[in-house]
This record gives sequence, C-alpha cells and structure tokens, in this order.
Amino acid sequence: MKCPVCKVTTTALEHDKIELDYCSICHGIWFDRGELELLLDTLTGGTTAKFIHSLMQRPRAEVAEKTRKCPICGKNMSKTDIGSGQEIIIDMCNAGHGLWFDGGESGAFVKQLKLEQPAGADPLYEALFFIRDAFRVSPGAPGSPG
Amino acid sequence: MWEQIRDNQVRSVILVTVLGFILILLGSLLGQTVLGDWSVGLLLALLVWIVMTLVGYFQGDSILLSISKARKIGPDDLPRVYNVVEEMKIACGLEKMPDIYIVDDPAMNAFATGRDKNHASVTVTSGLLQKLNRDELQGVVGHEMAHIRNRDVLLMAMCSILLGTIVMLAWYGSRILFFGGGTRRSSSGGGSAQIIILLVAIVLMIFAPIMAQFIYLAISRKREYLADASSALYTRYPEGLASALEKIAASTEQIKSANNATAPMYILNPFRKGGRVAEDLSSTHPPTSERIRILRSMAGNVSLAGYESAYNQSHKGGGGIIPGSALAAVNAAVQSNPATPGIMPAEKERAREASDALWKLNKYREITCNCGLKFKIPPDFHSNTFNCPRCGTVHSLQHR
Repeated sequence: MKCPVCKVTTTALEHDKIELDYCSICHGIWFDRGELELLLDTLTGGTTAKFIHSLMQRPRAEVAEKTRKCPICGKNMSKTDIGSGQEIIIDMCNAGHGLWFDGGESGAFVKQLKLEQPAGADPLYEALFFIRDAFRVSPGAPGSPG
Repeated sequence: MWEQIRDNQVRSVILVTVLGFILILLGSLLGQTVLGDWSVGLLLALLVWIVMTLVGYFQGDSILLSISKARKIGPDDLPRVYNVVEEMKIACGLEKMPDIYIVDDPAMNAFATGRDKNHASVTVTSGLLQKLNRDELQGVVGHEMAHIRNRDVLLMAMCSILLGTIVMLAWYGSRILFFGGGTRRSSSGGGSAQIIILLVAIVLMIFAPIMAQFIYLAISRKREYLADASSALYTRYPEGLASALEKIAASTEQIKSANNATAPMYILNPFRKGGRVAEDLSSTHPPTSERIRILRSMAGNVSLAGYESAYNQSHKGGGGIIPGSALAAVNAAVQSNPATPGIMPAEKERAREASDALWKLNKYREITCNCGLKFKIPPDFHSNTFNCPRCGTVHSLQHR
C-alpha cells in the first residue's frame, strides 16, 4: 500500500494479531476495513458495517487540509472532525475501505480522551484505543509517545 | 464416475456446436452486409475465433492468473491451504498436484483454471482464507477440484472464448453497420433481398450475444451442481461447502479483478450490485440458496445418489443432475464425516496466516521488536534503519 500523503510504500505493524499500515515518514496510519472488522467483530459482535455507515453520516469537516485519496480505490476521501474542543480531522474512504489518521491525529485524540472514558463500547473509541495500545508500551509509562 | 462426465461432454458438444453455428451465421451475415461478401465475413469470424482460441489454450490460464494478480504458493507458504488441496487431490484421484495461487483480495472467492488435469491450478482469495474454517475451505477446494476432475475447466474456457468472439463481432458489427454505412452499392439489384438480409443481420446482432449467453449458462449451471455433488463426495461433509457458500453469499465485497468472461470460473458469481448481497438472479451460477438447500438436505448420504435425491426434492419433475447409469454404478450410500475436530485457528490467526504469506511472497521483511510490536517492512523501504514507533528502538535493515 502507498501512503496517501507521502506516496511511499507503507510498513505493516502487527499488534495483537491486527495489522495497521504505517508510514514511517509522516507517521500516518491507515486502518483498513478488513482489520477494523477483525478488531470490532470480536469485541462488539459484527458491527463494522453499521459503524462505517454511521461514520459516513457524520458531518463533513470544512478544512484547508489537502484532500487525500483512498489508498485502496484511489478516490477522494471525506474529512470529519472527531475531536471534542480541539479539532481532530480524520479521512474516511466513502466506499468504506478504511480510515486514515494523519501523523499525530490519533495520539491527539487519545490525549483528549484521557479524562473522559467512553461509557459504552463505541467502535470509534475501540479503534482509537487499539491504535494507542499498538503505539504505547503500556499506558502511562514514562517516555511513551502519546 | 465417468458416466456423468461423458454425458456432460455430449450435452456440451451439442451446445458448443450451436454456439459455433451462431458465430458462423453472424460472421457471414456481417460479411454480406458490411463487406458485400458473406464468405469474407465468415473467414474473418473464424480467423478471429481461431486466434483467440489458440491464445486461450496455451496462454489462457497465465493470462487469467496475471489479470487477477494471483501469486503462486508452495507447501511452506501456506501449509494449511496446501494440505487441504493435497487432501482433495487424493480424494478426487488426480495424479498431479495442481498449482495453488492466492489473490490478495478481501472478497471471498475461488476458481480453477488450466487446459487439462496436468496443467491445472486452483486459486483462492485471501478473504476466503481468512473467513472460512478448514471444513468450509475443504468444501470450496473440493468444488474447484471437481471442475478440474470433470474436465469443466478447459470447456468453460473455450466457451468463454467463443462467447467473447460472438459478443465482440456483434458489437463491432453493429457499430460499423449503424455508423460506418458499409458498402452501399448503388446498383440496387435484388434490393428487397438485401433489405431482408440486412434486417436478419440486425436482429442477429442484437440476439446473438443474448442467445450465446443463455447457452453458456445452460452449460455452466449443470456443472456447478455436479461440482457441488462431487465436493460433497470428496469431503464427505456437505455442510462444509454449504456453510462456505452461505458465508460467501452474505459478504458484500465485490471481487476486484473479475469480468464477464471469467465470471463462471469463480465458485460464486463475482458480480453483484455494489454493496448488495448476492442474489439468486446471479446468472452464471445456480441460485446459491438452492445449492445450500440441496447440500443441507443430503442427510448423511454424501454419495452422488444422495445429492441427486436431495436435488430432486427441490426440483419436482424435470431431469436430474447425474445420469442414471452413473448412479447405478455407485449403489452404496456413502456415510458423511463429522466436522474436523481439533483446534481451529480463529479468524484473526487465519487473517495473519494469509497476509503473512502474501507479505513473504512480496519480499517484505518481518521483524519483531523487543516491545512486542511486529513490523513487515517493504523491500523498497526508503531507509537502512527502522525506528519502532512504539518503543523507539532502532532496527538496522542492512543485513539480510
């Protein structure tokens, strides 16, 4: 897979038997549909299709950030703001091929979440917590990248 | 076992002859209306067909495999898949192990190619390997091996080519006829006869591809049932294939690299409306729900006769699938096997098994960091070092 930002071949990171595509230049992360299914279907019982559908219903964010193309189908992705207070923009493929987090986006989101843990099992939180766990040795350990 | 194959061959020869006749008729009428000489048209049509057939015979499987971006795997790449194919090879009595290919595609599908039993291959998608357990995979591989064993593969390939030629000629012919004008000879000798020929040509051009398609379907549908029946016999566990078909039909992913001519080679019709679940209308294959129903109602008797009686339960009247002579030869009912016992790898493990094999085939380098994170680094990585994004350890990529 090519990084939608840098156009170089991404590296696959495997954590807990689930793969993320990671660009070591811009530190962006692609969460593929199939891997999301592997994560969410075991956690929440086959809700990935519903989750992707609900993501599509989110309001589109109007930002200056460049439009990115889905690394799977090559079509333009839509942007949505998942942050609370501070703006955090993620890119999602309109055909549901996956989600793109620019370098630092997922980390910023997890930082925001530190105090307000979600009440229910929200698939988006699950996906983000997974990314956090993949990138952190153990929560709260000194020197861990946020 | 040979009876139903021969019976199928006779039926197929008749249908192929009809297809060939459509090609000849179309070619000569095209020649008559466009070039003013039917024999030239006939020769051109035959020439196109012969060239395409030769290419298809000698290069067909490699062309098909390359357009679907299939990667060949060995026994060490995916032992689970290799074992299943080997088991089915023994069960169906093939002498030579077919080549096994894997396509990196989240859609679930499988197909068989090859011109004869010694030049055959089975291709499965990574999505199929991830979603199916061993019994289901066995059912699907059994179905594909039955296509090879029953010599369906070459015939279907040749039919695709014949059909493709007809569709191509009709398409170009109609464009030339409507927009190019052809040779309008001013001397209107036998004008009414020409008009009739022109009319027939137009009608034929519209209907030839449709007729050809129907004949094609008639050939492929029966073969799908027979391959299902054979798969049940080889695996002795019809539930495996039934459950696999159910999973494949329920998936909404559409296969990326399929087209009209290759559609019948897949285990399930790869064409579905985007995002919609496969329907019973999928035309090159019989209705999936019915294939599942027949397999499930075999009730322990997994012989061809068991399939036949299950088929007849859902088809009141009308001929069966398997010729009587073949059924008479195998009198004894074959007991079904229980599901494969033992520890089944979970979907996550199967997903990694399939993707790791693909990474390896694509020359990715796997490194496990001390912190537990695994990296699969592409061969064209931009740097000589890789920094673990989790713990920051710097890994050297110098030594291979």
